Amino acid sequence: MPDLSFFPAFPLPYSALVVFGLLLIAGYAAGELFFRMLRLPRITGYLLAGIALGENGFALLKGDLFRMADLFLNIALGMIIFQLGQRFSLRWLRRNRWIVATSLLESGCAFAAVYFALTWLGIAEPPALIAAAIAMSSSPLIAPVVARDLHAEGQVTERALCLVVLNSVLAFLAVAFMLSFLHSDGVIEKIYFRPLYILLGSVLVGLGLGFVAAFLGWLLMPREGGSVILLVSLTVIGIGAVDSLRLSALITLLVFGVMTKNYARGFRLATFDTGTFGRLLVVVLFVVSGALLPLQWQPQWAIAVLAFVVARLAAKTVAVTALAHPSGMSLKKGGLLGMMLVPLSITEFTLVRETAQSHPEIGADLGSIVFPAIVLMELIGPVITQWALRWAHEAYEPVREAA
Amino acid sequence: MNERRIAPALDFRHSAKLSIGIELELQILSAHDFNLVRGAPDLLELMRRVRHPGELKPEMTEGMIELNSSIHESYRALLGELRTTRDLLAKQAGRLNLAVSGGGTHAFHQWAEQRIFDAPRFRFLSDLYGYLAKQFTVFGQHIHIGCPSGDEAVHLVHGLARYMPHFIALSASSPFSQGVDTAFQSARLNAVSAFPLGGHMPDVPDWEHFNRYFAQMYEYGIVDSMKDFYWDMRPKPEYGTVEIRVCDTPLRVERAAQLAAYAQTLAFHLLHIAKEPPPQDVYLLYNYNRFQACRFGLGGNFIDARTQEHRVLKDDILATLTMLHEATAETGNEEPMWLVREAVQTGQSDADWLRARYRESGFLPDVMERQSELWMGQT
Repeated sequence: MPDLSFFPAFPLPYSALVVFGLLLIAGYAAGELFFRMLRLPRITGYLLAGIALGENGFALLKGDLFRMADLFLNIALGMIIFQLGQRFSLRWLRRNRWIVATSLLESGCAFAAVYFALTWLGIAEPPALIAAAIAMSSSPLIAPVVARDLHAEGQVTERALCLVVLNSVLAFLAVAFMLSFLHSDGVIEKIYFRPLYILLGSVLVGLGLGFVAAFLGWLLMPREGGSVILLVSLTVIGIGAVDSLRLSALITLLVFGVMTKNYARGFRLATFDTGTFGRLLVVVLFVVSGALLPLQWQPQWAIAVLAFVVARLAAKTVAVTALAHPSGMSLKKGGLLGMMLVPLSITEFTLVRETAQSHPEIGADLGSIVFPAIVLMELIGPVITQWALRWAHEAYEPVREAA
Repeated sequence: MNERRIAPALDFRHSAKLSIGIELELQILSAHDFNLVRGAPDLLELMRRVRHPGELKPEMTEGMIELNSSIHESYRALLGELRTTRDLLAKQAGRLNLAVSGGGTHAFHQWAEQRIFDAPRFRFLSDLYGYLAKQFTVFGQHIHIGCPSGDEAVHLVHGLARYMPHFIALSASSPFSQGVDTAFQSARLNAVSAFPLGGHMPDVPDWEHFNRYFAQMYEYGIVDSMKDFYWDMRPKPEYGTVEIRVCDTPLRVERAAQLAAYAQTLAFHLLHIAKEPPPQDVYLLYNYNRFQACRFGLGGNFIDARTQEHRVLKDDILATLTMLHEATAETGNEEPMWLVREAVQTGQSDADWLRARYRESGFLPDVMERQSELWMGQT
């Protein structure tokens, strides 16, 4: 009898790599199925695949795999935020100040509407304040990804990408501010110190990354995709640094994006098309997001969740529509732009988790209201976004093949 | 065999002699990456809110709009109107994060990525012309000159044929196409040349013969209306004008107005001063002279049909400007003709300007940015 000990023992040990590859295929397949057969956004397919494979489904996505996926997730998040930064134009805001006004009004209205709705329902002040601050924000991931998938171009697309940047930053600062406020005991310095640290620190790191990119661009003169390698590296460094410094990755990468667009030669258009690599990252991002979605919810909070969703949606849509005309667009497009601001996603989870870590007593109630709302808005958000872009005639509708 | 089609008679509408008007096809760019962007619907929607002279129209693709001037007697009035509309367009585009630009081509837009929309007209053209329909994303200036009658229009078209290379060289602003330097001064016309009904008007002596030619083409089922002829210069009976269509959209409206004045002065000369009929061989040399002007611009070789003489196109334009002194005085076009002379003498064409910008930065989006700033008067 020959020695057969070189054969592996059965059952085979769990391989994170094999499962990860399978996850990507499943996500991609679901995305294409949704897009081609149902005319629904690809990312909805990725999310549902993630849910099916995550802890609420077949529980394939776990342990080692999460740590591995986490790296990709951060790169994907970083790249999308960075690209938003590249598109973000201060010059445009100077030429059309009504856009800034729209941003302030829609975030302000969302804050007020959610705060009053929740306190009216008898929710305690602290969680209501934080929930209202989170309600200001819109997912900075869904609008750009869906718009790119549909090759959308026009004012609804362009402004949505601008407004999600502004309101995400505002929401982030508002949450930081509210948390300081709740713990300040009335001491003014305490209120401002942490938000100020986050803002200035993040801007400085973003500027630093921008200078390094400019220097590397000058030194290495990257060509043919070389700049993408450098940008991915710098983005990962940025995310790591921000994590250690307890700053905001969002603000840092936005500033980094703005810097490279305006000051780093050779990088200006570097990530406009990250191509296949970018698409791969998007698949990972949303499959993993789907797997992470906390699907459990408590029926006794249903009214509060509904109030959060409806108040926020109404406030944003009405505010954006109200300023549509002076900001230079039709009422119809204004309304559709409002709808583009409805989605929420993984970035808002981070805000809740952060609150829960530092303030467990607020975290429980807050999570009960906001988590189900985010899940809902992450699932239907892409569909609403796609619908808004199609109705605005900004999505590209190709010539149908002649029968 | 189908029933015989009966051609409608073409009525040449009377219009004020030597009045001028222009159409400019303009590029709509994203102020983000300076590629063509489907911004026309948003921009036109915003322009409808402000009072402006002339007319703005949507075009085949949403990355393009057409600016139509009103009808003018003088260069000065035309220029004033163009500047007003230009300033309004630039301001409104800025509010939408868009840029508007002149130039005959977009430097790096890829025609393969040109998206054809599912509208009936697009589908028809796309089905008929295949890739030509996509490649036709080019931007030209059309100049209209008022004519009182069809006979005069036909006469004027023949007379202007000799000067066609002048208009190409003076407006050439499309050296780049599909991301490469084409070596042409006007690469745009190469896209136009591929269409079957392009080229020049047939050698008909008068309006009656022209009508007969049109009726024949109509009865063969080749054309349905005058719109189907893509000639470099053609009578436009429904406007009562002669239309010159060889010009690239210049980088600035000032040059566009100068070209209109040049056409007006030439037309005055051809209708009032020049006695002899147009030379016989002008159409024999037509394609050669046209190619030279597209490829080399002001430096191209030009063969004069009357004298069989070869000369540099630049010299022929300077000689023409001198010959036109009487017509210039009669039409009051001293200033624009002097500006044209200055541009020709310094040898600086729009195409050269664009190449110089490319040498500075090596990056075509930068070139498009500078090009749009120049058109919008922001430099």
